[in-house]
Amino acid sequence: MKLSAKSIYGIRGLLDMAMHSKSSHVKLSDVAKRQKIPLRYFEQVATDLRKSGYIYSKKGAHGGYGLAIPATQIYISEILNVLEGDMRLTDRPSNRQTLLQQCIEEMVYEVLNEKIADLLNSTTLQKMLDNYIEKECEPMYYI
Amino acid sequence: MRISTKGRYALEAIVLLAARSKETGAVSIRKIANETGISYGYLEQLFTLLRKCGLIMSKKGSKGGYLLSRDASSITVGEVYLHTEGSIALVGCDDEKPPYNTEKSFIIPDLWNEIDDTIAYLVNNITIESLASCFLKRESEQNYNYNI
Repeated sequence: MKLSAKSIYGIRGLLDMAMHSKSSHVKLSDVAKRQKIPLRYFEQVATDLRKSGYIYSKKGAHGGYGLAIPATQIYISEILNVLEGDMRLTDRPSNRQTLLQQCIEEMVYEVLNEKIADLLNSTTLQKMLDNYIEKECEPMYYI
Repeated sequence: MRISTKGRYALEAIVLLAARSKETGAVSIRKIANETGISYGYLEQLFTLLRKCGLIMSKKGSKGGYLLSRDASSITVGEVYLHTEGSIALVGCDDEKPPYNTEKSFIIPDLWNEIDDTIAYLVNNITIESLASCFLKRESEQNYNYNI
């Protein structure tokens, strides 16, 4: 039940873009290098994100990529919908479930899927970034 | 990121095993196959795996079949998935291979840990006993309704 490589790389790259594209555009190759993402892979991810309207590309000398929507308004669930398809651990139940399947559906799958959806629907790219920066920039105290 | 077919079938089979063995002792693969619709051949292989993992045990003889190896209240959904999925983590940042492996230069969002912890907490706290009870209760309610 692992998240696909596309999603892991995609989010990592997008966070990097959010961090570095505030004042200028970023090159995909720079993002890929910083986050150790295979470039070919990341190019495909960027195409998907561009087509869905989350990032834009600008040609020319100072060109590159940037976020098309502020990081505060991009929810992780949206990005994963583009890259992963959907964020469920199971397919939607059919109408013809046995009694046993219904019990398992209600007590296990529904609970899991809802909880995951809640987490993803309430987390923005910016929030993820803030958490990361906070973690990374914790001052170290020396006595 | 789907739970595998193996995982889904294993959970169904184990819950049914828990429910039926309460009533009748050891349960045959044939019975599980008939009630779940899962193919006999598949269940044979699955049960070999589950036996090797120590989740179920076989009882030989005329009234033979399979039983849970421990009380249903001490077996969790998480344990079943551990054996069928390998790991219950969505991201599992301590995996060795990219993209799951982590290095200091990578952005490792807290969110992944939060999701993994949430999943682990949930599946490790749902027992086979609770699922089997739910099933048996609904079954008897259904039978009651049919018998009026």
